[in-house]
Amino acid sequence: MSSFESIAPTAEQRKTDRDNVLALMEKIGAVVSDDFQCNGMPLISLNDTTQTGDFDFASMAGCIVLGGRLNSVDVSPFPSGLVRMTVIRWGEGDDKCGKIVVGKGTDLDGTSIVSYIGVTIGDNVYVGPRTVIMDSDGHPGDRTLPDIPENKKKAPIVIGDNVKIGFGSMIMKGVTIGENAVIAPKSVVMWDVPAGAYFGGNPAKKVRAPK
Amino acid sequence: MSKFSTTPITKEQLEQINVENDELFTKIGMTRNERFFCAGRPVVIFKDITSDSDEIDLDIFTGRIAIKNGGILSTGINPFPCGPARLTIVKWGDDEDQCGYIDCSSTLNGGPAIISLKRVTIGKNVLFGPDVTITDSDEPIDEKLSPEEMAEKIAPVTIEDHAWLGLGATVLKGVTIGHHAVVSANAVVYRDVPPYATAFGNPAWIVPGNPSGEK
Repeated sequence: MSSFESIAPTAEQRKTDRDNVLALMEKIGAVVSDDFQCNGMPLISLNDTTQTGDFDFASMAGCIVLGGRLNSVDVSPFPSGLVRMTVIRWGEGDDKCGKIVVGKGTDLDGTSIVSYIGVTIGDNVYVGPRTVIMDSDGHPGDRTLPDIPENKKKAPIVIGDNVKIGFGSMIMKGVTIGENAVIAPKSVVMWDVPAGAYFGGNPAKKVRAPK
Repeated sequence: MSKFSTTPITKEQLEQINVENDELFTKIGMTRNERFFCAGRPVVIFKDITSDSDEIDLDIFTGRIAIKNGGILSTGINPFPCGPARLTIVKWGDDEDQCGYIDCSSTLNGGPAIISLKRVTIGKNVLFGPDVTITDSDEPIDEKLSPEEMAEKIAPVTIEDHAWLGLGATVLKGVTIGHHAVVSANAVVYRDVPPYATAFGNPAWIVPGNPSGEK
């Protein structure tokens, strides 16, 4: 046993975290499976540009669907942090709202996900700390256009089963990562990754896997 | 409008932080106007390598950070991880231009790290994503070098009006980011980016752009 053990969350703390998170998920209308676990409290933000006044959670019910584990702890060998999930509704209808789906057995360590249209993560995926997954550019690429949601490019992200994403990576809009693929740490993935491939770099390309 | 799962900072706490920040900014002689605002506590570092003294002479650094428009934002509630803004000024010679200067006319959003040994100029309406790094020198500076030798490793950086520095972007010494240009997330820029162009990757390559609309 290492001295690290003494500052890790206790079973009691983990249970309290889980109860707090479940209460939050119920309040925001998220869908949570039985095997869902979490360490630490994630940061969930819901943003609805069609509403004013008191927030009505009904408009964004079901926009977060969780299995797997959310690990929001800094007690880790590498710099980590909170799991952050941000979902934006920017118009009426299902096609104008973000959605985050996390599969069974998946581990998200200190990952930030921002969705305008759809981020789907499969089963048994591992995502390393300080990774950012965002299905939009966030601002218009043409800096002369007004900074409104309609002008921001968006496209769904799909991450297949058993994928491993190295720490510090960025997954950009419209990317599909095929099942069993591996992404090296600190990669910036701009284009699709074929199933079973080893990709790395900025921008991420097929590279030789390390020994 | 948005709802956050953790409690945002209260109005009273924010006012208290603003008072403390204001005292700090006045003490260090940071230039700012009446519309300046600050959320979160930035880290300001002054370094004088010409002096052996343990004490910093704040008079040398007065006015060396000038926020001419906008403010400084680095709060913890953010869709992305971001830390406090870090502003570093280094004095490495006796002349006026052998000391850093940050001349900023935009809001420093998302906790950027700006290290200046000569001059970093940031224009109007520049959009900062979280975790941007801007440096006008090769790092680390070998303090045993003479000012003449150091001068080769230092070159001013300019970010022109309406540019967009994406999440994690790094801008290295001597670079000019043209107006309306875009630096893509996590790009590392070592050479100029023309107006309206986009820079991707590490090392960054440039895709030219064209203005649209009335320009």
